[in-house]
Amino acid sequence: MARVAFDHVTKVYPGPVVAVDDLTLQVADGEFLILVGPSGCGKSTALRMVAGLERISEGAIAIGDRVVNDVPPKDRDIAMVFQNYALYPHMTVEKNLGFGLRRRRTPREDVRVRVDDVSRLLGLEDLLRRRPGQLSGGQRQRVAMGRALVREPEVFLLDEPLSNLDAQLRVQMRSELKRLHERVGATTIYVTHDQVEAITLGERIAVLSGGVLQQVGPPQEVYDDPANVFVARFIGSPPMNLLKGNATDGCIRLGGVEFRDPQVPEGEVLVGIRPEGLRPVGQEHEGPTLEVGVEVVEPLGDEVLVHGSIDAGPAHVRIGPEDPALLADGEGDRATITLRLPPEERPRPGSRLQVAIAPHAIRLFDPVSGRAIRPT
Amino acid sequence: MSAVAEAPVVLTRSDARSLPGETGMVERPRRRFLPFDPWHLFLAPLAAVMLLPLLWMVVTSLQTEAQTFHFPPILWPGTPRFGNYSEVLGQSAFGTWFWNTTVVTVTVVASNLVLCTLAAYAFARIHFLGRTFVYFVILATLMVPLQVVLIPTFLIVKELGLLDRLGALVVPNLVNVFGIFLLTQFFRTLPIELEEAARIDGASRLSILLRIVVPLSLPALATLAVIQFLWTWNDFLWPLVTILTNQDAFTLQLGLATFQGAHNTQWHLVSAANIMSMLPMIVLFLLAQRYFVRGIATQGLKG
Amino acid sequence: MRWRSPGRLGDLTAGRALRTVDRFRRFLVSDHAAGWAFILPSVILIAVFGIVPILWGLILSFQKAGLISPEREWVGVSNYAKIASDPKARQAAVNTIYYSALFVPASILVALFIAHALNRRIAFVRFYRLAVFIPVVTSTIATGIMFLWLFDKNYGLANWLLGKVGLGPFGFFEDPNQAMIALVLMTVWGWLGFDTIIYLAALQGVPQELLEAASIDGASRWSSFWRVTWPMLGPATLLLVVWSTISALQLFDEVFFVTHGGPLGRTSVVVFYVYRLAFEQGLGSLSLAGYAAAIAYVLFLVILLLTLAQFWLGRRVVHYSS
Repeated sequence: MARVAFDHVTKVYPGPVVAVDDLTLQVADGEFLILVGPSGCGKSTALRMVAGLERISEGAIAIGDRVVNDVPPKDRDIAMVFQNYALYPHMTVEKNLGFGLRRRRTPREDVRVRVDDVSRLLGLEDLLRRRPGQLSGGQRQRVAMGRALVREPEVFLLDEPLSNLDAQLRVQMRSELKRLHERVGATTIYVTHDQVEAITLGERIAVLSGGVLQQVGPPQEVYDDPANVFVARFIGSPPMNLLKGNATDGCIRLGGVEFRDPQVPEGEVLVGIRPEGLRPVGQEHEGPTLEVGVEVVEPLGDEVLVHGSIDAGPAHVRIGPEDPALLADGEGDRATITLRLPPEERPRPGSRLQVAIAPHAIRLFDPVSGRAIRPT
Repeated sequence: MSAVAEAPVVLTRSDARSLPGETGMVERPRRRFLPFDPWHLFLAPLAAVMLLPLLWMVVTSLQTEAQTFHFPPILWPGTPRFGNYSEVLGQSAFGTWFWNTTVVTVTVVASNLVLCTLAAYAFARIHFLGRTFVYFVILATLMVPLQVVLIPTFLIVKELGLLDRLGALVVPNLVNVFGIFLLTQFFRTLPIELEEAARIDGASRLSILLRIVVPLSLPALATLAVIQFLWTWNDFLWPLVTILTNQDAFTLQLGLATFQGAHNTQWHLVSAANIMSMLPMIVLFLLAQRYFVRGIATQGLKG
Repeated sequence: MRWRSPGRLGDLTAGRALRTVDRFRRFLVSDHAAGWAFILPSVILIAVFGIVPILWGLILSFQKAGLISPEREWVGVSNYAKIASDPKARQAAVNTIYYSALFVPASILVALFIAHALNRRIAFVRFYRLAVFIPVVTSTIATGIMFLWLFDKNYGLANWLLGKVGLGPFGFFEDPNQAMIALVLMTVWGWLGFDTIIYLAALQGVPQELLEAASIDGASRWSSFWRVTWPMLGPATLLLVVWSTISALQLFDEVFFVTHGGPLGRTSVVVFYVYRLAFEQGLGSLSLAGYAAAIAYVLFLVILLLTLAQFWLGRRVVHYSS
């Protein structure tokens, strides 16, 4: 097992298209790191560069102690699970599992033992004689994982392995993956576009957008303390509400509400509040409240999502090539925000709510760069 | 754009994967010993070998008779002698052969386009009594090789009084079962909703075929036309068998073969005649490469 | 749209049998009529020039028949029996098998190699493809002329080039021992483009991901090709084997034009022999059309059985990926 290090890695395609831009990142030995971001953010390209399936334009990638820029995939001691599984269709499951070991001239007895172990681990014993064409999606996915596991490599690479499974199976496999990692403990780099997967699975997550690393850290840290508006809106579902506020003299004004924050710089500021940071209160509540005009109510069973408009401008920030749909909702001077309520509270559309903001739930961002304004 | 021999399947994946040098293989970083891809060492001589007979024939067609009898062979005649070509035209009925072949080929291709389209559409989309049986029987005839039907078809053509005439070359080939097969398979891949909408709108079968299906099928029709053109233009056995004495009805292949027989040591003339006979197909190939390739691939994969 | 009163609607349907004219008119606009109208010209042509000859050929094979003369005499299976004792027929069969045994593997293996080489993004690949494909459009006669000249014993380019590397001179088409091999070279040259296109399409159908996975699994280029790509080419290979065998067994044009069965009958193949019997010898007073038809039918049977055997064998060996 080994660590993986990206050192100012850049990948440029003819065009020119910059798929990965100056990526510097360490993956510790035994760590489960997730690369997450929207389509086209460069996460798959970064993974493939570690695998050796793409050449590195600039910078270096090291696996363990050696720089592997010019080392062919088969000599890097890695294993990869592809999004579409890439199982050899003309071989049985058993042959698929053992292929890599046989290529490396492992003695036949060892191959058998390891294939048996892995198939027991993944519940594939009954399927060994079948061909991939005869398996279900979930079974194929497990065979793909088995093929990687049986090699006992230094690094595991997984490229959106769950995205072709149906929702229920996906949830099931997520916990299985977690269990496997706890048991095997190998260095793993996992790519996904699903931020829920990222938060639940990863020890650390690295958020990418437009080829640039936005933030890296444990999931809770990235959720609680996003480094910029992109991460703020991408991580967390429903996304963080982002509103336009104005700061004068250490006082932020937002839609009729005021907050004190002595360190905030003068001028326009973006205010981010997660849906769970807003609470409807009664008339007698002291302290600043926002008036929300309820528009849509979504009961989810265990909670209720309320979408409504408030008297503050939405934050329209365009930073980089990320999907503008990630940016705030609303038009003109009235932003649409989302609240999370317990399931028994169900306001009627058209009604008005007084909503209090938990002060520790506010995050501030620079309106020009989008970067978080952090307390010093 | 005239892409050379576009294979029917997309060559690379649509997302730009930069693999300088290889498509079907995974790229491996390696030290380059040569300034170019080593496969050129195989492909260049291969191309030379494939083109050599043609090029050599062109060279010979520009030489004088004396030059052709030189050994070792003269690789370039100094001053090319284009007169060989006019001599061939003058000394033989080349024009007639060319004309005959054109008439026969164009007629056969046109007829096939019409008849195969009609029949294929019926087999693909119209449910009529006996459809499966008739289709099966027709396809079965594809299994039977030419030499089996050669003699009886000759006798039939003789009975029809078409022997020794261009009619013998045209009539038996007015419809080609392979074309029906090709188009039937193709029509089945078109979305049926378009035709159903038209039927609800009240269109007749024929107008659906002409106004909706055919415009969507132009690539398949072009492919069929190109393959049929190739077959008919290059056909030798059938004209050989049916055009016995009437020199006015000779096709290009037949005429060429006779010419070579009559002038068999006059290679400067025979080469010129040969080059002239090959030019139309080569030109057609260069213009319609895509359809040739598609046609051959379909012929193979569906066969 | 106004609904008619129930009374009138009832008049139209309840109890009244449709008149014959109405039924005929219904039929005319029905699918059955349309379908048959569309296929009728083709069916007639195919019946006359496809089905009738197949059946008539079978009948002929049981007759002693003349081509130009109207002689038809029923002789039962004696035509078929004659084949067994005819030395020329036996020679034709041997020559045909010899040709096929050389042509089929040669054309397929070379085409595979070429397709592999062409399946890459290198400079001039379009030119290379063009060069490989062009021979497919040259007619058999044109090709024959080109190779007759190329292989000319005294003045041909081939002997000159071979002489430069110390080989030859060869008689090629004029040498009884070399003529068939020369024919193989010529026809492989003509057909390589066809086989290559098929293999190229098949190679491109191999998913890139599979080869990436194999590479990560540790396969070298050779074992990647042999263990991943080659099995996936199974269907294409089977197809080419069947197709090439059928074509090879039916060789005619080149034999007729280039060697005319010689020298010494060493390139006389079955279809050529059939032609000779029916159209060269049989045009005179000899009535050999029936005998020729019988030989043609035996060849047909052989092709049919061979094709079925190849498919059956192929099904067991070839994997069709879902």
